[in-house]
Amino acid sequence: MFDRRLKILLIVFSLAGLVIVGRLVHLQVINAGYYRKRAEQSLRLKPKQLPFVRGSVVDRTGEVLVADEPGWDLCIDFVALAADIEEKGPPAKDVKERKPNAIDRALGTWRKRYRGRTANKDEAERAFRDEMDITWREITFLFSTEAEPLSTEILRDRARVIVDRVQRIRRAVERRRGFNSPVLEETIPHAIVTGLDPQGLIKAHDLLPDFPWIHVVASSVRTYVDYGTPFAHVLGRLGRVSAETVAEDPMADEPLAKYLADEHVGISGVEWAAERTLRGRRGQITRDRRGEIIEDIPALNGQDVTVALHAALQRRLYGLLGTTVDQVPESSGGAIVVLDVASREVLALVSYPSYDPNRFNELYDSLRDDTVSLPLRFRALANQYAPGSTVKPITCLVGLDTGRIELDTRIECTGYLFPNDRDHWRCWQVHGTSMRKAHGSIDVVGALTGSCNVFMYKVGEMVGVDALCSAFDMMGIGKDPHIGLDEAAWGINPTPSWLASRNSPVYPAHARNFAIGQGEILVTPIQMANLMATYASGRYRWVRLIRGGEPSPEWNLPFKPEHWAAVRQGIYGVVNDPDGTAYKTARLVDDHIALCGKTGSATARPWTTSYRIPYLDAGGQEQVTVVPAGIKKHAIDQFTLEHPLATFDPEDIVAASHWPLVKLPEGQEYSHAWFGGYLQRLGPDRQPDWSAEPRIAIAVLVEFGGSGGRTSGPLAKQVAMELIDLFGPDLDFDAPTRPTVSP
Amino acid sequence: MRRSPLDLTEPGWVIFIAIGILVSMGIATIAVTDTHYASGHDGLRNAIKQTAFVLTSALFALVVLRIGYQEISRHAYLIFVVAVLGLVPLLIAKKTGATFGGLATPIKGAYRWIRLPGFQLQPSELMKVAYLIALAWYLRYRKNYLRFSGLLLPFLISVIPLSLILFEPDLGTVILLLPVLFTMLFMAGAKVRHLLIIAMIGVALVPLAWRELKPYQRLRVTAVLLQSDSLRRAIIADPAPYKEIATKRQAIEWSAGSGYQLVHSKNAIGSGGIFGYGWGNGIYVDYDRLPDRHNDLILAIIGHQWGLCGCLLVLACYLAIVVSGVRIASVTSDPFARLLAVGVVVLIATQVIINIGVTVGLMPITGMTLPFVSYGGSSVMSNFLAVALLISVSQRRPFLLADKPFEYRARRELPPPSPGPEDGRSSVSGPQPRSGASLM
Repeated sequence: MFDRRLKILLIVFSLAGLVIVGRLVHLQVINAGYYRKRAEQSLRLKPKQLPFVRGSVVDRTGEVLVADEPGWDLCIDFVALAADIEEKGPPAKDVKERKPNAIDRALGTWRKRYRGRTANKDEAERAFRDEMDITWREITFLFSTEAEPLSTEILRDRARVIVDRVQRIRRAVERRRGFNSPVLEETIPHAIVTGLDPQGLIKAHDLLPDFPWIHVVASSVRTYVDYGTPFAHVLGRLGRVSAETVAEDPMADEPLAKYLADEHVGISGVEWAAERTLRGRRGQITRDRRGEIIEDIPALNGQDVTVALHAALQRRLYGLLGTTVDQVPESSGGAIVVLDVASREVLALVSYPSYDPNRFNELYDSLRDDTVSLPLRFRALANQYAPGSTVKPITCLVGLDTGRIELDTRIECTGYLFPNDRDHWRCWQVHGTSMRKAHGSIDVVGALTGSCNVFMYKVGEMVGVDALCSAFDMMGIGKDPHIGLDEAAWGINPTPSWLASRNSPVYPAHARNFAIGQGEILVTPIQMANLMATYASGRYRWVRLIRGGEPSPEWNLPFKPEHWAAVRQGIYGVVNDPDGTAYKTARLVDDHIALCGKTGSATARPWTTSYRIPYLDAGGQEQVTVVPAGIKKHAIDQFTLEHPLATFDPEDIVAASHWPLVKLPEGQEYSHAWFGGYLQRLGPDRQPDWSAEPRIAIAVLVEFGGSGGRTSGPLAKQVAMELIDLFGPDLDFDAPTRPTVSP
Repeated sequence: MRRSPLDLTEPGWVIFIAIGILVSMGIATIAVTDTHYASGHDGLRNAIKQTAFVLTSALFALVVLRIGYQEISRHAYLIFVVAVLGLVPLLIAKKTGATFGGLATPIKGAYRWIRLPGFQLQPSELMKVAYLIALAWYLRYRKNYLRFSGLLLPFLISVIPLSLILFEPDLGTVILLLPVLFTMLFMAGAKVRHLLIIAMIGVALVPLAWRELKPYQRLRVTAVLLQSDSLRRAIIADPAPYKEIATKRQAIEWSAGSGYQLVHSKNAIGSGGIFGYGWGNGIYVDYDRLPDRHNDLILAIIGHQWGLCGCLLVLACYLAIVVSGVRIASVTSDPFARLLAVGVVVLIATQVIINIGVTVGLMPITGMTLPFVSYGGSSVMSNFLAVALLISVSQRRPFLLADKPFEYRARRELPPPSPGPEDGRSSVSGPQPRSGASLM
């Protein structure tokens, strides 16, 4: 029996041996190649990512408006940052329950530096914290400048922001992956001082041997063209990528393309709109433990983006606008837009006031707190104003097209729509106490030239809100201008359905109001310029700022040529007819070019610049404070930040001060001053050559500028003169050099 | 009466040569797995230490041969008790936290070693041999294990050392000793039916034991299952049905986490191909990517350096030892010696199967050394002692053809070895004439 069992045992062992031999053959013969490859791969060191250069933004002449300049960042390991700002909590009772905290991680990371020095953990922690204090002081000492002052507190605040963001990323990633695990951002150094120049680099290298957590990382500084102020809004800014963007990044699975927590990303203007093009892809270099380069993916730099802007023109117009706005005491700002009529490319997109984009960080606090002139607002795209009389040509076109009026229909303007109510529905000519003669009996051309309100009221009543609003819609009011920038507002086209959504019935008064561009209708300056280009060409088209891609679509408007001709004659008359509203202020003295346009004085409500907040302080005493803010919600936010213990009733908060400061005489209203127009070519007889389509359309807005004719008219004339000066009498804005004007 | 301890007999010489090859391959491999920049041990130094271990162990083995297994067998229970007592300090150290002056400090949380100057003694390794002797001694003539109730006592005796070792914890040694116990009961003549019942009870307890395992121990088992790419993908896609096996995170991080050692062990052994990179060459020799590569996973480096050829040579050596051991067991008629010989064979074979199974990814990691090859003093010592007992058996086959004699006769009144077949059932010829060969 024993021997039989011995044999069984031997068989069992042999079977086990056979299984093992089979497995060995499987590993070493059949799959040897696979494992050899895997073995080679196991030598790979962690790949190192190489930064890319973000693309530049250039204008239509090739001038670089913003570009990446080489620079360096002073970075600190996340472990050190997290440990430094971590509060020393009470020690957990049970060692097992205690979570490994940041300070433990830091002491573990630099074990030799601290644990090697002392076995006492408290002592090691104290040594680490002391050295971090010294780190902050050294950085302050070396890199603090007048423009960007640093201090231990400021630097610690930055560290807090970084740690907070990384933790948010971690939570977001946890939500996506379904479990909590460390993210890449927790293992890399983070930039504390950015954009070091070569001198700063040398200083930074001084610090490196003393503090193992300090690193210098090559990066770049987004540098704007000299005197970049006119371009600040349109170019936009870069900002730290938000945790939400990182978490929802569509490229999250592509390690070279995905956003890293520290990265800068376009957050406004062209930088935002062209992010995909401007952004490159990081490179990657992988070495193995033998020092051989296994993989070398070069960084893919971002592509340049060309914008349709003409930099020289933009600068000149910014200067002109600034001068005008500064001369009008109640004005808070303005905008100028210049469009190429044919392609609707934006030649100039000026918003005043602006700021120096190269000093944005340094100026940010004062920019944010300026509730009067709101320099951060991109007025040319984001601010909406009633268009005023500039939409009167639409009213006329609709009236003519619907047959409610004919070209020779004459309407009597007595200065009032209703003879027995002289306070409402007046013509602008009869304003307040100043009585000038009314327009009398006028036709379409005369009504446009004289900008007669009564004529428009009557036409508006005749055609109705529906017809007017569908014409507004055809001309892009209340629609996306398709400029591609996130800031662009759409304006409001108060169609009957829109009114219904506001629980407002449609009254005849609406039609009268909309006919003269007042009431609920709102447009942005870019829409105004596009409207003028539409007047000039008879076509509606999306505007275009960033070049490349498909040409924008175009729609021919269904109005008859003779109606257009009449309207254009009226628009010509506004500036060039002695009866015109801008004849005295905007008429161009030129043999080749006439400025045509329509003035507009849009009713404006003063805006609040501060709020008075009555409150009970912590002791129950009644107090009152005034918080500068443009919006009530901001005022409350700021107040609760400064007075966390106070109690107050939001109902009691009232506006404390308004802009403009100047009080107008009784009966007069503030108004934004519009001028929209285009440059019409003159024939040899100095009469408009209607066969030649205007090349350039402009829109000028001065906030609280008063009368469009008086304030914006002269500015529009200056704009036209600059255009002629810059581009010559042919207005050839794409000529390589400025054409010489023969005497 | 006695043979010289240096007269190894024919199967003894086969075993000796096989061990010589294994030890040489082990030392050669230990010498080149130089990791001065990582875990702080140096290949050459370890090779010298291993050589010293081997020589010391060989010396002890000679002493065992000199004494003879019969003399040792008389003190079987004493040896067993001493070995159990050797485990007790570790128990106390773990329970109370006393380190006995640094002698019993834990390594990676396990209280397996007694730190002596120069090397760390692992009492559980020596326990293996003591357990073997005691079990063989207990089972030698008893008939009661033919009854099911009689099987309980050997199991109960085993419980003491096994629970102590399990407590350290050293799951690997426990897993090793259970097959030894079963095989010895099997060889001693226990009814297969009874053994199967016990085995089935054990299998039925597996789910219960699975719950009792520590998370890291479970992870070792699941790491083997997670080798399958399709299983990992399935878990990542929907972890719910696989809750008992692994979490989504464990599946994602398998190759860097629980499967790290397995991945690299397979890479090392597989990349060796048929002939290997050659001695001292290869990625896994040059770079310390594989933990315990001089120790538990030394076969991976052998396969890396010498390919399939090296692995088969190693297996052939073990086959030679096993076959020789079986021959010795078969030839001898002393029941104790038979059980002892079988026990030694099973002990070594089981270690080999488990160790290689772990290395090639067929079994979970248990911390089992490869006998005679892996670095480690206690392991070398216990295996040498075990083999010395085996050879000792071959040296002193009782010349008995009659029925089983009384025990004292078997021990005391040994007739001198004589030429000629002493066991009708064996085809093995009798002891060879003295050849004068010696170890020296």
